[in-house]
Amino acid sequence: MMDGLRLWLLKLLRIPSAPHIPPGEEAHARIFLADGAYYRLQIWALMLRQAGALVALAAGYAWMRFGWIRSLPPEVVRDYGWIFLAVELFALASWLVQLPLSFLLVKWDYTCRFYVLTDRCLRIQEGLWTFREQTFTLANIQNLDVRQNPLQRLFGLSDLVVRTAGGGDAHAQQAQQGPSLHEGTLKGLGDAAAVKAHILARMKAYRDAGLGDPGDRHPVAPAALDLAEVAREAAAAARAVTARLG
Amino acid sequence: MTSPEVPPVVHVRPAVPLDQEIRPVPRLLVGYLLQSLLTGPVAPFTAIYYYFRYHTLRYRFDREGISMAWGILFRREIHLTYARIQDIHLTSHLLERFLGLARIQIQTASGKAGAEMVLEGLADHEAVRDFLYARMRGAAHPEASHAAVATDATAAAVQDLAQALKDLQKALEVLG
Repeated sequence: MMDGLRLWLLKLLRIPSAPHIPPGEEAHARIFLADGAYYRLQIWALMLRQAGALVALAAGYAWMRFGWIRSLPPEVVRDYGWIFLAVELFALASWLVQLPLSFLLVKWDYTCRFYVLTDRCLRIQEGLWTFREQTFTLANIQNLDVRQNPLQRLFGLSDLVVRTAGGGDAHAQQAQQGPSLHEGTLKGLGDAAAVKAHILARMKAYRDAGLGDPGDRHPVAPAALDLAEVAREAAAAARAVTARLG
Repeated sequence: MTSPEVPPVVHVRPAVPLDQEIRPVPRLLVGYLLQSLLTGPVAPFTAIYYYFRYHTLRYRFDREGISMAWGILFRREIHLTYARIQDIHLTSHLLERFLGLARIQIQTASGKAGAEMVLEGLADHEAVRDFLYARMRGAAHPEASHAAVATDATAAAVQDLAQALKDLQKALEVLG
């Protein structure tokens, strides 16, 4: 029932609830979500924010009720006192309405955040209001950056940031307040080391600048030719000759 | 001898007709006009800008790259080649998703912070994204599979040795 409702809402809001895998790479694609600890951390942060808002509401009410109103002339309070009450009730009602919605948003942000890692590319899918899908080929990645803040260390999480070439003009970027387009962040990874190792191995296979030079050497398929097999054949042939001569 | 493993060849259907002028879909205009409403008091001016942008917007995909042009008073044309694409982003906010639109942002390695090219209003944006992905560097390189055989000199040498010995064996058999 709840699941049906969830799917219906996701469909209504057109939020992609499945990862898009590059065609032809389904066989070796690894799809993973952020770690469960990431979700728990987000929920804790949400509860802290909500508790803060509630405390602020209570403090505002106390200040109005016991501080400010008493400083007003009594006839104003008698005639317009209901306005203060209405404002306070409205604030409380808004808080109650947004509470489940914020919770849902945090939950969906977690369940609809997909990372797809294939032999050739990394894809990050995220966002509820603004859906964003970033595709980086591993050949183009310039550097990897694993970050942990103290809270993330406590929860055993890390963020993995991948960067591609370009993306100067930092001041203009800050003015736009948008995330950099040459940067992808895999938030809340439990096992960042494995993802890092996979990407790094592929990066090392491309011994070039990652800028699309025409003379690029492309990584060769590993162990495409079985050297041992060929050598065994040669040895067998040699033995046959020896036997013939012998 | 085992045959070298050839990676699966990706057959990408041409999502976009090549060497043809492509116009954006009409629902892009609807999206543009709704978007211009959000700009408040200057909405009439942004609406005019978007109207002309929609009507002059042209895309052209060829074998090597994309061209995009728009504008009446200030005209702009952008060209880039598939091989130089650094990353592809697909973005859509709620309104765009309702209209079935999405923006494909394409970056190259230039020093620009924003996207070099933003493809808007394409009928099948997912297919175009796959089309571009298949052609960008490091995504699907046909040379990679052939390079394995051609560059492995050691294997070739050993292969040669085996062949030579086999020939020798045959020759001896004829003699004997």
